[in-house]
Amino acid sequence: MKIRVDRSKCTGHARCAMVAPDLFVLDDDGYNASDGRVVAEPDRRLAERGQKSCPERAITLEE
Amino acid sequence: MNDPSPAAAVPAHVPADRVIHFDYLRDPALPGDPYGRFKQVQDSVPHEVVWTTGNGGHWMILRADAVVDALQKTDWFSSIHIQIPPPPPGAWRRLIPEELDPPEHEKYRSLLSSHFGPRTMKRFDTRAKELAKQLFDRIADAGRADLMRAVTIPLPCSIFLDMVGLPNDRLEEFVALKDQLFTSNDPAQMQAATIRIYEICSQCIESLRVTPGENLLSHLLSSESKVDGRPLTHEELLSIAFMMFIAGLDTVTSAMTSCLAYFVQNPEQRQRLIDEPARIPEAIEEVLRRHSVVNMIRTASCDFEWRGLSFKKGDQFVASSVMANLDEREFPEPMRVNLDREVNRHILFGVGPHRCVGSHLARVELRAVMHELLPRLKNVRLAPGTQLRWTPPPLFGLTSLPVEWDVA
Repeated sequence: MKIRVDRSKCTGHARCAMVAPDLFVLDDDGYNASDGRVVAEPDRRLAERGQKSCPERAITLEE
Repeated sequence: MNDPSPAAAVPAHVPADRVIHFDYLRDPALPGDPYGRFKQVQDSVPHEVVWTTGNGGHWMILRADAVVDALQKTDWFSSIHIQIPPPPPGAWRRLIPEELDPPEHEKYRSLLSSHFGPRTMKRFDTRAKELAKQLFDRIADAGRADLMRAVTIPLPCSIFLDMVGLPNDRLEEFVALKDQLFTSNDPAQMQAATIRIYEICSQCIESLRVTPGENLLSHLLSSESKVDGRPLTHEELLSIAFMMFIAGLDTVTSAMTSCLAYFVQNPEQRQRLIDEPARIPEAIEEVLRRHSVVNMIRTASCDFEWRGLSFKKGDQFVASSVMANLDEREFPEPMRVNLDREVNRHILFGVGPHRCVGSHLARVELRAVMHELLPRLKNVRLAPGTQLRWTPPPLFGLTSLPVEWDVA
């Protein structure tokens, strides 16, 4: 599973990183810098929680 | 003092079944229970977007999905005015960056974002915890206090003034001016406060020009900060400083007071956080989802069709984070604070390009206060006879938080 981030939608809420700090990495300004990152199977549920917590709907998870 | 305005005429492009009568600023039920009243309005119609005849007449967006959509569609939903009705021409300076739309907005916003990132704000963690401890030390032995006067006003305001570069020793004067601006609902008083705040900001900018410090305004004055390849003008700096003043001195106080009020009144949940402080960050998010602060305003920048309705240029909208965060389609059992909520996609800090730039600082301060105060407020409860009251919108916040606790 791969994290996809629409950077044009991310406005730096950092909710994803609050829920799953080890999966979602932020840049210095607090924007999601995890586009393309591969999620291991045991972290699937956590990744989904992080994705669903994004107020901008900027994150998708690709199989 | 705040009588609902007489019902305004309904424009021809508004369908009759979309009309409600609700003055979101002056409805008499708001000071007692603003969230209950907003929820009632949301539940009273099967629509996600309605026109209200209150407050001169405007649209209200009632459901989370539509609020988010509107706040993200900046081409249609302009931020040009933060008031309904808009101020008369010449009576108000445009706030930077709040009343700018993309792409203009981004030029200024990026100067601020780099200053307010989550990692940068973490350096205020120690300061916030120390300040919380000191402020509580002053009242610890009294066993009673208004936690708003004692903690939730001085703590965020003090940190904020230092960070921006406004003089901390004038904190009380600033807070009084901010209150005059937000809670008087009297145009003359608001105008007087606005003029005074601009005067103070202007003086501060001039003095920081001579003697810069480690603060936001000095950073904006420095040669590094450029818009379109040039330094910021005095007028632009003034607008940003004013914006900071009104955004920073009120909202964190409101959020912090609501959070403390919830934990004062819910001892079991309070104990959970004392036993497991790692739960504090998500608990704050959930308490503030249920007790959000800001009702955002947008204005149609052109005629357009959206969600089956026609809108005309100049139509105004309340796109409220309060309303969105109480929508059961997004949050099951929305009126209940559920610290175990699995997914919490709230928009406490707004959504879209105008998302609150200070959110990461607010979180650091909120966590510090809950961390320091909850364990020390032994057996805390509301002071006898207390009836909590809320300030009238546009910003929801408690007027005071009188409590008692056991002194060992």
